[in-house]
Amino acid sequence: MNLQHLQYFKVAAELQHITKASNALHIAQPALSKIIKMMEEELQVLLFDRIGKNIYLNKNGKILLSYVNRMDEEIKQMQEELNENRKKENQSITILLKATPMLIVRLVQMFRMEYPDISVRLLTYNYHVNETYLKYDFQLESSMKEKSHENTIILLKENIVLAVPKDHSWAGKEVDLAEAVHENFIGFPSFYLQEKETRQLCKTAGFTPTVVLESSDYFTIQGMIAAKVGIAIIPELSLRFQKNPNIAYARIKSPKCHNTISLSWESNDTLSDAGIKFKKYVEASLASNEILV
Amino acid sequence: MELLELEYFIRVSELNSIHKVATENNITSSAISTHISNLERELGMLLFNRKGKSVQLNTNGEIVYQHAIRMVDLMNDAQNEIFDENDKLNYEISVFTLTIPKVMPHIIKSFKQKYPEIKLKVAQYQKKKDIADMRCDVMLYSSNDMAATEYSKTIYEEPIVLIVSKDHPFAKEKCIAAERLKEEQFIYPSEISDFGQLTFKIMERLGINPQIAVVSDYPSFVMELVASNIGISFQPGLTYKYYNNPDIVPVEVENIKPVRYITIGWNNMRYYSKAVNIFIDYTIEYMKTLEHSQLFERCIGEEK
Repeated sequence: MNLQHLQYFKVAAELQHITKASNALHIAQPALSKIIKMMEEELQVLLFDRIGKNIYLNKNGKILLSYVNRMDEEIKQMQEELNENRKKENQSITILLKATPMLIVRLVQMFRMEYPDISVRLLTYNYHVNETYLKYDFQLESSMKEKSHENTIILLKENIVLAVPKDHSWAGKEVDLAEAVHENFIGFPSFYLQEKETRQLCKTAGFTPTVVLESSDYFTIQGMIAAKVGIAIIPELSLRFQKNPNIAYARIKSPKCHNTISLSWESNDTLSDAGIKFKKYVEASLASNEILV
Repeated sequence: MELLELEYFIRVSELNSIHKVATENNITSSAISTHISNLERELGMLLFNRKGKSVQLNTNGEIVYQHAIRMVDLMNDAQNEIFDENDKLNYEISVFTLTIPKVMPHIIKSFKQKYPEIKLKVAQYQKKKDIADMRCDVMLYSSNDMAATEYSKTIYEEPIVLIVSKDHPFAKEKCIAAERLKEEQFIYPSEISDFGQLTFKIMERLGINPQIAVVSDYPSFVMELVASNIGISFQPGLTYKYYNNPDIVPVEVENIKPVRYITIGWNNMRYYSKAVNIFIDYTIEYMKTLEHSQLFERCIGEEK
């Protein structure tokens, strides 16, 4: 059954005349007659008593009309709810954080100053949740592999460095990662993408790192480095370790490595108004170099 | 907008897969995709998040889903009411049964013989849900209390029987004192099942903290365990009767006659059609023919 045809039926039922109804609907009269006949065939009963060009709803037609009215109510209600939802979605954006670079804090803060009516939800990625069930507008990722995807903005490209205690012999120097073969490492939990990539990098340098402690908390990791428990491989800028006076850095000469922070979304067509505003804002900020690390 | 589109949309939402719906309907995945895209184009918005092969309703899709179900139901109801008005009975009613798995096939068989023009679509579910959430016309379920709504009716008071292996000492006795159950090993239902809660209440009434040998909700498994004398079990009378295992004997427990109630419910949000009415009346009449005394027939027969 076609819902449009049900509307034609409704008009025919109200005007009780095929020609009048077809004029009102701007369709040819034989077309309307045919549609009504099709509906009658599908329902296996007649819906009208026909007297010349006049048509009168019979008992079947009356039953159908009462249901068509209820279906109209249903559609009306659905449209209202969809409009409500659109308004709501236009007032908020959700960002899935697969990494937590500090620049997102500044970005959200600046965006909110420009658009105080749009709320920003930051969803922290949990590895145990099936991603399909998460609803979000953007996702923020940190990866040593540069993603080239059409719906992606690269927010930051940075060096990978070794974070070491401040009196470590490498502090402020440039070293080959292979030299770190006998060091103890502080790492992120092994299921983190970041950690997987770090270990891959060590493998490229020719060794498997001895990880003495795994933590998902940056402050813990910083504390452990400062306490000389071990050293860590981290992105130079986005984690903002440099504020810690007890930690120093060593640049990695080889292997060549970079970290990329990227913001991506599913498709331009599905972005809400709020999403489009956020995207444009991020693009403009990048162009004017306003995203500060 | 076609109602068929809405029906496909509903199934895709429920199965989270275009491919599965295509298989279910014996048409190609691309045909289903086209229907879904048509619907999305007509509404001017996407309804799913697509991730690989899996699709998931987005917030718009969730809204459309609720209304799509009601629209499809309304159209079916319209057809049914029109058929009723013209004394045609050639339509389909859907029955969900959450209980009496052994009796249901008999009801269906004899109903089909009497009313071949009514198509029955029967589904069996393990867990009870609200009838309003289930897309069915009629639901059969068991409960510990009598039905007490305008759209449900208790159709059978089912005794709960204690069953034991024929090799068990109890098998020679008519009536067992509750005290003696304390020493017994039980085949026990899990606490998540409705029957498990009922069994728990019976034990509480008897003042017994049962020793549990095996936990199982699976009747044929329970029957085998009891027949092999691994333990004894409280079971619904009809389950015992229809398994008809010659190695199992029912016994009475002193001072208690536990029962549960089989209830038939119908969807008060939908048109109550003549076919639904006929099915409900038929089921009620059928259940009346099941006499309680039959449950103990063989036991008495053996004594003679």
